[in-house]
Amino acid sequence: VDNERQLRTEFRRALDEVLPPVPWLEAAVTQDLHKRRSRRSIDRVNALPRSRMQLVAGVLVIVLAAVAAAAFLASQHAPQTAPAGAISIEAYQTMVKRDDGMVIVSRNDNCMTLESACDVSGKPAIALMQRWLDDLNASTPPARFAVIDAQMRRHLTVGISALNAIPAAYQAKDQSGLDRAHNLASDQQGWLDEATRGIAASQPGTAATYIASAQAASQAFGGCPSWVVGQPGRMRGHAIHEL
Amino acid sequence: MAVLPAAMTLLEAAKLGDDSAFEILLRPLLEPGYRLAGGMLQDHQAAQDAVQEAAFKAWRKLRQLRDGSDMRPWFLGIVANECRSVRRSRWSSVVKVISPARTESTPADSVLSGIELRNALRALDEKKRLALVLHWYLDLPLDEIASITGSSLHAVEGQVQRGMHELRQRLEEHRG
Repeated sequence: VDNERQLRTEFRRALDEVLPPVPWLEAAVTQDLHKRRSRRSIDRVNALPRSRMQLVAGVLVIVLAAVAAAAFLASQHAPQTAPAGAISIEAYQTMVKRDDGMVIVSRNDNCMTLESACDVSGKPAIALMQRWLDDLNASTPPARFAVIDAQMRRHLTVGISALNAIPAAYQAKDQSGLDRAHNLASDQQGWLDEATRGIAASQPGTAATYIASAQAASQAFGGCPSWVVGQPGRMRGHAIHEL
Repeated sequence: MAVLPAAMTLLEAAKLGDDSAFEILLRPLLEPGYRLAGGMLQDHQAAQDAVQEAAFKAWRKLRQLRDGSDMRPWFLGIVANECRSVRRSRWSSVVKVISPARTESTPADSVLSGIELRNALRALDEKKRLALVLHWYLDLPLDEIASITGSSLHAVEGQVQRGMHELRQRLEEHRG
């Protein structure tokens, strides 16, 4: 026991040697506490707007994400807007059929020869072909009719010129000129009638239907050896298929 | 350990945000806190720093102190934790500064004895050192040490006994 007491005393003395009394400890701790408390209060005050800003930023991010999602969904579900002047396939088909029908009705056989009567009868057909051309020029065709649309406009222009040439040749007593004008106008009208039938019958198809259609057209050509193959403006009346 | 009603009232006030009540409660704990930190760290400057840090942590964690609990073991527990973290970060440098070699100059016997004892104490593992400092240097009863260290009374008794035995052994080895 004495040994333990001695060791304990020695223990205390050894630690006292390195631990001088610090009478200022209380003041130092109190001052440090005050300082750190006030700093913490300032941090809290500063942190408040920061947390609000984080909240606002979070809300903004959510709103932006929602707007982006809504815009994406709208773009997915909204009908695809066509460029200005574009018309639907059905409207284009209707317009072409209507204009071609009116041109067909307006045709007559006047001024066929220098001997026949001719009262400048080409005029109504010219006006109707011009209206058809205007209709085509005023609209953007559906993609599947883009090529044939350009060809139709070219044939309409040629047809109008040919119809204008008929009375001129008649008045000039030029029979051969009259024949050429009639033939040219007839070729254009024939081409336009075939094109119109193709456009009217156009529908989405498969590769198989396209091949069958091409084969049928080939057989039709093969069955008409008297036809002049490669004659400008000639085509067979088969439906235009969109693959 | 009995807790005075007045202290309870102060504790409640402090927990409700009364800083002066907290300071009143803390005041008598600073000196034992300093002695504990000093015994553990053997550096008075580091001990003061540890007590300051512990005081701030105690203020922040005051709500965690259960009603009816005594503040002293709770605060000394915080100081002990603080010493542990200080030791981890700077103990090696402290050791280098204050550890004289045995073959150095020949100071008076008492001083030499103090150095040897502090070296022996420092060589003890943390639990034994803490138990010895609290029991021998702060004169705390074993049950309060158990409360501070979070150990059983039996464990604390064993730590004190083994710590004392080890300390004596080391001193004897040192002194030949």
